[in-house]
This record gives sequence, structure tokens and C-alpha cells, in this order.
Amino acid sequence: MVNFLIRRLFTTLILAVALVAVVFIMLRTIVPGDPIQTLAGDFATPEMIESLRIKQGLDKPLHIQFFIFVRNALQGDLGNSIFTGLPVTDRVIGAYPVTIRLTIYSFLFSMTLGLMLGVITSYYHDTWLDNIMRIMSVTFASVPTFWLGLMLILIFAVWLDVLPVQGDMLSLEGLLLPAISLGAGSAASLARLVRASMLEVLNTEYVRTARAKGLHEWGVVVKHSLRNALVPIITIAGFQIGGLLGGAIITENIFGLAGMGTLVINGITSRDYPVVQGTVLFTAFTYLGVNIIVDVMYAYVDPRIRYD
Amino acid sequence: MEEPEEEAAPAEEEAAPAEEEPEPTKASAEEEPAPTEEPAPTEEPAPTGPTRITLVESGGYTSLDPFTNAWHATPTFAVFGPMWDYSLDLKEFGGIWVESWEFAEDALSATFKLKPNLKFTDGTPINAEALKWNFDMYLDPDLASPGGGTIREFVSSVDVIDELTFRINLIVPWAMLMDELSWKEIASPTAYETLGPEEYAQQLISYGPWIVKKVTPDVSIEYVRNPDWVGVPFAEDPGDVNFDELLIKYVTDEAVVYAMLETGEIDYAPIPAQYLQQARDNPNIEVVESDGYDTYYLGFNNTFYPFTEEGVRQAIAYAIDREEINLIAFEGEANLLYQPLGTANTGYNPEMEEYGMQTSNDPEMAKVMLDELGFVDSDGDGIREDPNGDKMEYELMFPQDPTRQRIAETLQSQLRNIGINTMLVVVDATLMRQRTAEGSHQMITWGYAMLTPDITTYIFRSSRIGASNRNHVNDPYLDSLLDAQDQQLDPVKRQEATDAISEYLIDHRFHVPLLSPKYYNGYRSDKIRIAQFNILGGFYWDDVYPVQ
Amino acid sequence: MLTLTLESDTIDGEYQVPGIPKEKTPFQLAFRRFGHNWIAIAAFILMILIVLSAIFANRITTFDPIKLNAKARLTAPNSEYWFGTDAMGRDVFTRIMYGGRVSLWIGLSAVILSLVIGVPLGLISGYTGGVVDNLIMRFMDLILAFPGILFAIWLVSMLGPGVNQVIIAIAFWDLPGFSRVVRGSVLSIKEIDYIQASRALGGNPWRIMFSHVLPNVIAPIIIMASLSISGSILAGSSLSFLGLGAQPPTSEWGLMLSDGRPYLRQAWWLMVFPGAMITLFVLASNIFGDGLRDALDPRTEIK
Repeated sequence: MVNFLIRRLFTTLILAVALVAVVFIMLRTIVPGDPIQTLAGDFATPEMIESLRIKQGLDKPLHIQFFIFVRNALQGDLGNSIFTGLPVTDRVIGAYPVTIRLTIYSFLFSMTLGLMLGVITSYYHDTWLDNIMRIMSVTFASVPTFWLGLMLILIFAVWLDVLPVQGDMLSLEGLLLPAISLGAGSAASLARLVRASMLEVLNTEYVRTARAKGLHEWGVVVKHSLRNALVPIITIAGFQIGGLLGGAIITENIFGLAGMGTLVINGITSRDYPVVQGTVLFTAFTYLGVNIIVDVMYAYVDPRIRYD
Repeated sequence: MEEPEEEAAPAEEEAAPAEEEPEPTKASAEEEPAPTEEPAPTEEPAPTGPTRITLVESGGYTSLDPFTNAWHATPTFAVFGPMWDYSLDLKEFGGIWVESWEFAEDALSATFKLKPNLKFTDGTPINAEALKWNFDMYLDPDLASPGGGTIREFVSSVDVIDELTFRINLIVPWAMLMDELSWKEIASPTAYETLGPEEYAQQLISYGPWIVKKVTPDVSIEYVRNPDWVGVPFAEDPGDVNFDELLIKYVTDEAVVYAMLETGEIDYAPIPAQYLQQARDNPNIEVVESDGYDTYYLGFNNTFYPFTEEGVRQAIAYAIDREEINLIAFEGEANLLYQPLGTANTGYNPEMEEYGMQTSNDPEMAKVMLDELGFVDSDGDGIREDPNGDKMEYELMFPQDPTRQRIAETLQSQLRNIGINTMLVVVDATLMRQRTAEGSHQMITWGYAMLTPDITTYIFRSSRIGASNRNHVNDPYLDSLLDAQDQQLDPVKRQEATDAISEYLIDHRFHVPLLSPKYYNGYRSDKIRIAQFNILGGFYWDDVYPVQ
Repeated sequence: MLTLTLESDTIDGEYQVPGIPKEKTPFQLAFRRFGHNWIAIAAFILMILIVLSAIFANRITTFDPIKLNAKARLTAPNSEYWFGTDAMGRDVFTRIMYGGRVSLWIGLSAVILSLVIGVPLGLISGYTGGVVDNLIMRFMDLILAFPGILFAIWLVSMLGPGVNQVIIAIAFWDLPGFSRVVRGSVLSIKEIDYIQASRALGGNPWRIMFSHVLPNVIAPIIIMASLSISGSILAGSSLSFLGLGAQPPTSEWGLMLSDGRPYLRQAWWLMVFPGAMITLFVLASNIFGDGLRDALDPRTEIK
């Protein structure tokens, strides 16, 4: 297990570095658009633009720029934003909690709702309740996240006027709509998955035995079935969190949240190279980190799985 | 500024212009008039607890360091009080930091006398040395401050005459000196040098109506009142700011901004055209309408065939229906524009509108002109071919933005009516700048905005090719007209020079001005009261009061 | 949307390959099973109807999807304009019909492109194993480590926005799913007797791979592909919504939503109908995909 972890960490590090190298080089070579033109403002003469370029160090050969970047990054300095002049790490540290909160809240929402629906539908499987809930969950799994967000705004902020249009990760009213719109699709998929896993487990010999022994029905469901259905749930949860981080980009856009998604999109549109590099690095680490945690949990709940 | 300015809300408090930038910033927009603060201390009775006014900045967050940031907006105007400010009609200046000023006879220098006893908010004195330090920063070629670009072009040096007097020496006469410097941000030299640029950008020690309390990049800036602020002489009751706190939130989505105004989360905001009706119907929102100085235009790469042909450009100008664009892109709420300068630009001349109309609004004429030039549809598919046999199909590029997209789609439909096909190319503003600078574009629709007529220099002077001369106009005669305007200090002669430029631009159609959107701002009349507005809808900080 | 794709990837991982045919081929059996699933059949018919309405849009409606009509702009739904008109005065119903052409094309071609690249990669990876396997799978990890939307934003900033760019981006982020599923199936099938026999006899590995292994992993591929279509359509419309895909004045469902967004408050129909259309099609294809999975999965019994 320890060996496995070390190896995973090592691969993760390599992957993250490879990603950033790719981003670094592509931003400067293939992606068209010149941040200096924007930085200089529209009153600049061509000569002023050139002197700004030199000042930003963007006139140096690519490999030198990369060398400087790596050297500074190793000391924890990801450079300063071209436009704000602020250290990229500060900006990322400012934006990171917003996205993480959004991801966690919507993950909690989708977990709670998904598990609840999954357990209920499997317990009452093939009844009308099951059917209705299944139809609802497949429908929610089909709704585009961004459209759901817009519809929630239309209904709750515009028509009913009970919740704010602008998201805010620090207040209950502010986080409700973004978390729901981002989490609904996952909740629906999770509900289907939980139902399927639970049904499999419910039919196994020992659950039947437990029931026959007269254990309270809910006790059976929760203690035995759910615990055994955990393996696939954890796997999918890992994927969900990764997906949520990606989905957060659009959700942030719709609810006007200043998170990592907003930061990276603004960074790309303004060609603020250091910001894009820093954001990608952090996001990749988070995603890969979540994957490692999932692997570990996986091994924990299912001892049959071995890593070598 | 070529920038996309979107709905410019003008003056938010001070800076009116600022609003414009939807993007990461617009730099240039600095122009603007609006005003700012006030003077004397008359404390406003604060009812219960601290009073706060909340505004929104819809351009993205950019560096607040005056020497690295080219883009000015409400957040910086709130803390960097201007040395002098425009009157409500934008016709004269009133001193704030300065008591008096005087131009030399040859117009090659100007001398300014500072008010005594003014202090930056770190307690260091505002004196001639401090001013010289700031100008030297702007003039430093190695620092290459984007905000100092124009200063480096016109100013040779700054001399300290005595403790409170300094002289600005010019390279050539500069008509826009007062306007330009009314936008310049002046920092406390001591604070800047001790804190260093990064930390300074978090504290912004200067002298203005507000003092920065906390900067949260991308999210908001909190300010507290500067009790020592002297205020703007044109305010109704010059006194210091009537609120204890100011909060400026960064929100870029116009729908969100409007919703925040509606719910009272913010007190004052620009109103997008599509929400005007609702805003007017809302009893708590007071809408302030004013002309704007933006020019939205259809531009050409004047070095790209067939836009090298004046006749083709003129024919296209005839084909455009500004009414339709106005309806579709601005709900019919913008001013139509037939001259290069936006409606509220100080060089705008109604007679030029008449002149521009003479060669507009006649699609039939456009077809005849194209036929005569040999651009005919020989294969009958509805699209003309040029004399070389190539189809008249061109890219029409514009920066991503809903309003500009509707303009582009309308232009596309109008040009199709005269047999020209356009492919719409949406790019982000960064790429738009690069492609128009390098000249790899064909047609564009974009905008520029500045209060004063010298905007034409930025947009059309040949020395600006590769930068703000997006249409790649290279015309020595036009250059001489522009120089004549920029060096003319006499207001009457200056207007004549401006008219000559407008006329020349209309004749040659290097670009086609389309519309000048009005500025619509709304404020919560249940929460704030604004005593008076300038002609752009901006106000001075001293003129805003809390409503109990 | 991204989630969906990833999720289907895992779900499919657990599918088992149908066994060797006995009396009837697995596909005949599957067909019979599918025939008993009336919900899936209804979903399939709905999909076909939507596809047909997109193909024959010009026969169904007489309005022009592109031409401006300033006088009719922002008209609420009525008997003439069933779904109202947009800010340019164009009929929303018409634009939805025509928009299907682009939206469905994006979804379908992204899946096909991803199949064409991902299946051989998965085959090679699973069949050869070793270093090649490792390289391919680490490459897939790299793709997964990068949020798909970010990749698309980035591709578009290089190549400029457009339908083809979006197709490439979506195909790219579907890749890991396809190649992993195929690889997994290949790994389990490799051990089947007759394939081991062919290998032992020194058969051409490419021939074995394509003539013996591929047919046996076709069921999971079909299931994965049918489920990926919905994910790809969702992704495509999200990207167009962000301004990266179809460009004006083309009508496309996601782009229509983005164009309508500034009018959220005064013209709800610009938001409601195109989004409902996306949901409807995605819902139908999800149900259809589920039905197909049930039918192809031998563990399911005929009711």
C-alpha cells in the first residue's frame, strides 16, 4: 500500500509537471493573441508595446522563459499576473476556496440526494414510487448543467424573487442555486447507481439470512446493503468530484462566482500566461489528489483489492 | 480606446468613463469627466451605524498600481482624487489639489501651484517634489508605464519651482494637457517606495475621497471615507463624502449587475438597454439618461483589397441602415452616428451629422456604385464578384460580446442585401487587438470612446499602425490635419480643425461610424440621493447622500 | 455533462462480454429483449423524430432561420410563432428545428471520431500490454487530469471557435472512456481459449485483434457509444453556450441559449425552449442507451 502510494504520488507529480510544460509552451507558441497589446492599452505606440514586452521578459527565448519559470516555481513563486501585477499564488489562493466550496457543497448535495433516492428506490423497487423517482432521476441526468442553472435563476430569482441571482459561497441563500444546479446531474446518476448496487446486494444470500433472522428491515438495508454497495459508490464519487471541478467552470460563469473557472477563463482570454499556468497546475494537482484518495478509500472498504 | 466599451456608464462617481470597460480593462478610457469629490467638511449625520454606498465595477479586476495599469475605472478613481476636475457641463476645470495654473505664451510649458497643507493619506505632504516624482515615474522609459504613454509623447520634463509650484515642460503644444492630467493617478512617493509596487497596489496611498481599507482581487474593494478630502468646487455643497464606507464589487455579467440593483445589493449601476423598461417601471430605481461619447463603427483593413478602393468603402457606407442596428442591438435606445466623434465628445458637431447623412442610407446607390466599379454578380448566386472574379466574401471580425454580436449579425444581413457576403468571426478582445495590430483582418466592428476629439489621432494617425490604428489608415494629409488639431489651444480654431478631420474621414470612409449608445445609469432612490449630475450622468462624491 | 461521460465510462467497465453464441447469436437475443422494452422503444422513436425534424426542417417550417425581422423581435409565443421570436425577430421554433442539425451533428460526429481513435488504442493497449499499454494509459490519465471544458476552451483559443474544433475537443475527452472500456474487455477476453490458441499458433496479432478480439468487445462499445452521444450533445451545447462552438448566425441549441441569456427577464421563451429540446433529446438517448445495455447485457432476463 505504501509503495503504491509513493508510486502514485510520483506519477502525479510527473503528470502535473508535464501538463504545465505543455500549457506553458502552447500558450506562448500556438495560442494566438498578445497580452502585451492589451496591457499597453489602446493609446500605446508600437515602440511602447515593445518596451513593455521586454519589461515582462516575454522577449526572451522560450527555453529561457521556461527555465526561469521552473526555477521560480520550485521556490513556490508562480510569477505575477501580467495584468494585475499580483502574485499568481495569491490570486489562486483567493479563487481556490470558492471553487472548492462550490464543489464540496454540490458534492454533498448530490451525495445526500443520490444516496437517499437510491436507497428508497431500491427498497421499494418496482413500485410506483420507484418508477416516478427513476423517471425523475434519468430526467435530471439529462438536463444540461448550465440550463438548469439558468432555469433556477429564472424561477427562484426572477419569478419568485426569493434567492439572489449572484452566487455567494459564504451564505446559504447564495450557495443554494449554484450547488443544486451543479450537483443535480450527479445526484441523479448516483441514485441510479446506488439503486443498482443495492439491488444486487439485497438479493444476496446473507442479506436474506439477516432478514430471515428478523432484523429490523431498515437496519438490514442500511447496515449490510449500503455498506456493501460502497465500493462502486466511492469509485463514481471520485469521478464525480473530478467532473464537478470541470463543471464548476460553467457554473461559476452563470452565477458570477470568482473561482478557479473564472480565473482561468479570464486568464486565457487575456493571455495572462502566469495565471493560466498557475490555475492549471493547482487544478491538476487537486484532481489527481482526489483520485489518489479515492484509490485509498477503495482499498479500505474493499480489502479484496490489492495494490502492488 | 478601442475597446469595447460596452455600455458605458459614465460617471460613476467620478469617473465616468470608467465603466466602459468590460474587459479586462480598458485602458484608455480614461477620459471622462466625471467628477469626484468634494471639499469641505460638513459631516453628514449618519443615522445609525456606519453608512455605506455600494457600487459595481463591471470591467475585470486589473492591477491598481498606477504605474503598471493602463486601465482606469471606478475603483481607482475613488482613491486617486484628480488634481483638477471638470465642471458639470465639462467645459472648464476646477482645481482640487491645485490652486491655480498658467500656460506659457508659446504653449510649451505650464506652471501649477498646489494648495498648501494637503497631505497624502499616509501623512506625507503633497508638494512639488512629490508631483515631480510621479511625473518622473510616468516619464521613465525603462518603467514603460502604460498609463504614462501620452505623457512620454508630449512632456519633456517637470521642474520644481518652489515647495508648492511645479512646471511641466512640453515637447510640442498639447491641447489635451489639462484633460489628460485630470485622469492621472498620483501616488504618495514615500508610500510607493517603502511598500514596493505589490504591496502599494493593495493599499493605494494617495489623496482622494476614499481610503482603501481592503482589496480582495476579483471580488471587491472596501474603502472608508477620507476625512481630509477637500472636494470638488463644482459640488452643490462641497464637503467631504457623505458616506462612511464605500464598497465596490467586481461583477462582469450585466444581467447579474442589474439584478443586484433591483434587489438593492448595489446602489448605482449602469443599466443595459434591454432592462431599461423594467428599471423605469421600478419605483425604487431612478434612471439617469445621458448622451455617450462612444463610437461604434464598421471598420476596414484599408490595406486589404478591395477595401483599398475608396468607392467600395463608400458603397458599403451607403448600404448601412443604422435604425435597424439600433433597434436590434440597442432596443432603439442609442443615438445614430454619422460622424467619427460620439455624441457627447466635446468635438461632436451636429452639422457633421448632416454632412455624413448625405452619403448614407441608400442601398440602391450602393448597388449602382459597385456595378460601376465592376463588382457585379456574374454567376447569379446573389453574391457579387470583384473584377478579378473572386467572390465578395469577407471576414467580419468582432470581440465576443452580445451587443456586438447583434450589430455584426445585422451588418451581415444588410451587406448581403447589396451582394456582399460576410463570415462572422468572433474573437476575444486580446486576439482582436493582435489581429488588427498586425493587419490580418478584413472587416471589423468595434468601438472607441474618449471625451475629447483627439481620439481620432489614436485611431487614424499613421504612426499608430501596429497599435490603435485598427483600420490601417496611412494618409499623410490626414496626419497633418490631426497634428494641427492636437497642437491648437484656441477653442474656436481647434473646433475648425476637428471639423476638417471629421469631414475628411466621412469623405474617404476609412471606417463607417454607426451609433453612439447613450449612457443609462440607475440608482436606488430609496437608499441614496444624488444632488446633481454632469452631462454624462456622472456625479461628484460630495453630491451623494444617504436616504434614511 | 462531463460527469456523465466519465460516469458512463465506469458503469461500462463492469459490463461483461457476451458469451459465445449457442443457439441464437447474442445480437438476435438482444434484439428480442429490446423489443420487449417499450419505454426504450418510445425513446428511440422520439430520437428518430427529432433527427427527422432537423433533417427536414425546411419542409416543416416556412420561416427563414437566419433572416432578420426587426419588427417582430421578442414576440411572445403565439399562433404564428409557436415558440416566440428572438432578439433578431427570428422564429424560435424554426431555429430549434434547424439548430438540431448542428447540435446533433456535433454529438454524433464527436462520438464517431472518438470511437475511431479510442477503440484501436484500447485494443492495442489491452492486447499488447507492457510499455505500450502503460504509455497509452498514462496519456489517457493526462487527458483526464485536465478538465474537458478547459481543454476545449484552449483548443478554441488556438484554432478559433467553430463546430469542428468543438467536435475534436469532445472526441478528445471521450477518448479515455472508450479506450479504457475496450482495454478492459480485451484483457478479459484475451484469456478465452480460442484466442489463446490463435496466439499460440503464431497468428498475425493484428489479424487476431481485429477478426477475433474486436467482434467480442463490440457490445460494450455499442453501449458506451450510445450513452456517449447524450454526453457529447450536452458538452457540445455547453461549449456553444460559452461561445466556443457554432458561430452566429447559425442556429444551434446551446448558442440560442447564450444569445437569449441577456433577455432572461423579458423573454423566458428564449431560455426555456432550446434548453427543453436539449433535455428531451438527451433524455431519449439516455433511455435508449439504457435499453440497449439491458438488451445486450446477458445478465438481464427477458421479462
